[in-house]
Amino acid sequence: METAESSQTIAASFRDPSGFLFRREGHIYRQINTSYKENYDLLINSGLYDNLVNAQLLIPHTEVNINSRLSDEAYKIIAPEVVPFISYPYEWCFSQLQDAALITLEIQKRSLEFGMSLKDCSAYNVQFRKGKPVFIDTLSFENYPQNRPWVAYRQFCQNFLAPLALMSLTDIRLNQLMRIYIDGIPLDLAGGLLPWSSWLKFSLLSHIHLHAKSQAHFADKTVDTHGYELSRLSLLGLIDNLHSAVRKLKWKAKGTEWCDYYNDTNYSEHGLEHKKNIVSEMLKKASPKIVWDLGANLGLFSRIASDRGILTISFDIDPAAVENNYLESVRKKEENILPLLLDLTNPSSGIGWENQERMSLMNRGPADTVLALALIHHLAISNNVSFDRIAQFFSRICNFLIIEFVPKTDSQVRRLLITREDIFSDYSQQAFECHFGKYFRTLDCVRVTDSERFIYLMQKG
Amino acid sequence: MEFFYCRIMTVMLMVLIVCVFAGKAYAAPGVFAYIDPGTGSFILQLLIGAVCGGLFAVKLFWNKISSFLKRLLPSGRKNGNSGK
Repeated sequence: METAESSQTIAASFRDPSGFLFRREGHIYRQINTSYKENYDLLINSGLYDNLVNAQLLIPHTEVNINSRLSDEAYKIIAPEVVPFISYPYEWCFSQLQDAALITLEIQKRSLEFGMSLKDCSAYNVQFRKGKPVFIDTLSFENYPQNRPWVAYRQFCQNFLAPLALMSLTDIRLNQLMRIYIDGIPLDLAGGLLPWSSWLKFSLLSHIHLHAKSQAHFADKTVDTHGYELSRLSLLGLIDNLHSAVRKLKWKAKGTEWCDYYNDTNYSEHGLEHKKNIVSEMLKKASPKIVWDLGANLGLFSRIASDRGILTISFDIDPAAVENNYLESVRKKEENILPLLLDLTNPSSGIGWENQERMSLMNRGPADTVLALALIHHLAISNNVSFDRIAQFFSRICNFLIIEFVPKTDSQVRRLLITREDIFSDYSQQAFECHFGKYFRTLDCVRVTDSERFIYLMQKG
Repeated sequence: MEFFYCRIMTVMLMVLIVCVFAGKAYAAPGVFAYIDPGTGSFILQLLIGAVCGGLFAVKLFWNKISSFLKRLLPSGRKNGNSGK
């Protein structure tokens, strides 16, 4: 029989006194502590759980009877449905964060109808599953005493409204502040970065500017908050106003470097079709369950994998490309593709307490197969990373590698070399094969029609 | 109507900021907010909640009137047609 010793707690949930996540033999469980018993029973018995799960807003779970309790406080152990790839707000595009914010508010609205309220509004409680955002923290619900203000109001403003407003009105790249501030962007910082015109919008004026002023004003004052009430109508009005504020924020993906990439390649029509066929055949040989497409742009090649039912994480450095990729996946109701923002030269690191609360990219791998198409020259030439380091990195994040070699004579590489001195004497196909050969076995290599590029299928080892 | 109400509330809130928090610029104040941002959020929520509650009541009322009128209009047409 399994024992507590064979279980391992997951750092992401250590702050929650209501329970915690743990892993055992590859399965993820959540222990519910006795202190959360009443709230958990209310969630189930009130019908809120069924309501949210049926609407695909909350991750479903089953109660299990296992002997792996890691503390004496256990009330129940549940096995939540596993989200196959965990992503974080700083990896989401504008519309992903906006959708996550909207389902959080929808959940809060529904919770109030069932006499409960969200006590926690962290953006990390939302994950993307089957192409849609879903709330994953079953222990974030609590009994709602009539006329009590919303305890998670500040967290919602910091985790959703502030970053969305900054991305929409100041600069799309400011979502990266979420990497630094794990509990959301401080409102005084957000207010200082927003344009003056945001003072003229009622919702931003109140939920960000006035909110920040109020925090500063009362921070060094002792105020007895007992006895103050917020009527149910006011709370519903507050949620409605936040909903409208989030919905009205817009960002149009245009004008960035990679946004029009497919209109700016040097492939002929035949070449592009041939490249798609090569990738398709190689994917068939690798038969992966999960693919990471690095430098995916709008996800043209990611969709060769995802259309076959393979979960494909479609990474790109460009917020506009990720935005368009996500919007296309929403439009087509695709379930197997997850577009995410990633700077491969500085991938997401472990952050939070002991650098373990939120996982690094490497900790979320390895992927069965990595696609690295039209990428090698950007890593080697634009970023001065040697073939050996690139090969070593790929060997740590995947078992199969489908990689395109782009020679120096290619027009895209020549373009990169226009503005820099050619110090890359080692950049050749022979050197590429030699360095990658230290970490991978080449299973296949095909030249792309009408081009000088080669695509390799490699297996680790 | 809701838009008009919203604009008035925006102006009123701006006046309130100047009156209540005068002298607390963004550059200096945040220090204590990191120690206890909760109280300010709590008080602000009561204030904004009251305003939003009023807006929400107007919105609900307006929705009821407009849906009532929408119900009236097609039925009026139907009646008109049937009267021919």
